[in-house]
Amino acid sequence: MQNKNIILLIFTYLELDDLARCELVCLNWFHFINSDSIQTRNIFSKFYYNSFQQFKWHANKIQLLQVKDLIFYEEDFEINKNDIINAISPLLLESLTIKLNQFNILDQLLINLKTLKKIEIRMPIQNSELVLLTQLPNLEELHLRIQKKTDEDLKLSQFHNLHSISLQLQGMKYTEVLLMLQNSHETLTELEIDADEYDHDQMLQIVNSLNQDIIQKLYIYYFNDYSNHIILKLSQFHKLNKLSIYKAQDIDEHAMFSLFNNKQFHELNLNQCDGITDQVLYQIAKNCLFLKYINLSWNLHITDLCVSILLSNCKYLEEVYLIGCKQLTNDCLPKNLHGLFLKLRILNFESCNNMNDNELMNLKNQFKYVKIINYYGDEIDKF
Amino acid sequence: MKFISQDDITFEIDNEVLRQCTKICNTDSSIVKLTSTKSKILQKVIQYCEMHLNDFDIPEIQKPIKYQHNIFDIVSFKDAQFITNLEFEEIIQIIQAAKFLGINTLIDLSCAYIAIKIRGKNSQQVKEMLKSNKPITDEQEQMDRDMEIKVKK
Repeated sequence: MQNKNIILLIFTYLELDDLARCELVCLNWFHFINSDSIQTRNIFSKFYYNSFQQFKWHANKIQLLQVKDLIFYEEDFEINKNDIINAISPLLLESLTIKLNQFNILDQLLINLKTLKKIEIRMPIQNSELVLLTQLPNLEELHLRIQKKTDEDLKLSQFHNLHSISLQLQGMKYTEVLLMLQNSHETLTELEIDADEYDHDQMLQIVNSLNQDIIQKLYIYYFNDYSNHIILKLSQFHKLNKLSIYKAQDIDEHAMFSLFNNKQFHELNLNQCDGITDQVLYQIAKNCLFLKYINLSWNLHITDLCVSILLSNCKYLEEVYLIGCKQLTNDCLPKNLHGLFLKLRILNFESCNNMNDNELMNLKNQFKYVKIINYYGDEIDKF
Repeated sequence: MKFISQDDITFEIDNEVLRQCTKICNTDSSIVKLTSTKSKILQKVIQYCEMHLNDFDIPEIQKPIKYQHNIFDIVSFKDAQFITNLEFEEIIQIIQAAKFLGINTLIDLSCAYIAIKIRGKNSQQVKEMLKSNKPITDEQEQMDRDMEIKVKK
């Protein structure tokens, strides 16, 4: 066991506790764990802490190795505030994902983290901390995933020229969000937004504020006032390849048709959408040859023929959700399976009354690595 | 295509089987010499490749492995059976051979299995696990003897 690469590869599968013990096995291993290679840096970049000892050991390591990407989750216990600051602030981080149980740490942390390109915050945040974020010179990606109502109106409009934005929090002031998007009009390529509080006209303005020539990813969550107008606007984004329009109801077929006309999507979430008919699905199957993820749950209009065309045309599908598509029968699986499902991992037929378990079992026998879910929501067994 | 092992035993290999050896499948020569792989190990590697003749794109194992999972939870049954029937020292040599041939899924499987063996053990137990499976070569024995002599002096 002297080969360094093999041992480092094995270490990547271990958790923090075990790595701490491996350090004590022999001098070679100690050197491997503390060596300054990219591989070792990657091993130590993602961990959740369950105890103070773990944190202390890990804090030591990330400093020694100058880790560049860090995911820092404080779970059920508290770490001393100064310890956290001392551990993280000397690092030259490029990406940071952080969730802490305590307040008033972020401001002290951010003063030193001038190299950050991407930050993801999963805890309540205040305006004073946002101001510090705007002062990061290289910041390109801002992800606020808080999912709680914030106490004050966040001044989001002070951000300029971001490349990627995620806003998953409630109580955002509409004007601030709109200004923020307008400020990043020239650079923004990816947007994720919780839109449950906005009405139709506000959403239309948000969509209008995006740059139709560069936007690539658009995930809209919890919006329930879609119209043909919005969908037609989306169809002008010709570089779009990742789209989520969950619960887009009261949409006509022709609007959906133009949305998928001549566009290559990689990820599509069309859960509970109206207007997804066979014709639209055929359009998707014909155009999106590199589709990886598709969710067509609760689309009651789609039939066997088009699903089978979709499954046989898109050879790179990884995840397919067909939950509650009541019209589907066993015939939705392509007749000739040769060369298909090269990358498929999940195929979900939950609540599809007419899917036969025996047929799915046959499929499972041919594609053992695919997780297939039957009518009852159970995984088809391997044996 | 022919593989020749360290102890000069030749293995004939189908092109279909070779598809998984990402480093070898594009070379023109029809003979590959594996100077550091014994025939016994090479046989196992080929057995693995034949097992996965019809499997395209086996998914990667997720890192790090969770505590509650054992090898049967994270890979298919036949893979788990294949790897658990091997000796520790054999697995190490298989990783080396797989690395040479570029069979990434086999490297993934073997490393995950060793990681599962290592986890939960304290450093002393890991040491014992490694030592008990490590054949002492002549050189090392010689070195040990030298050390003893030095200590005695």
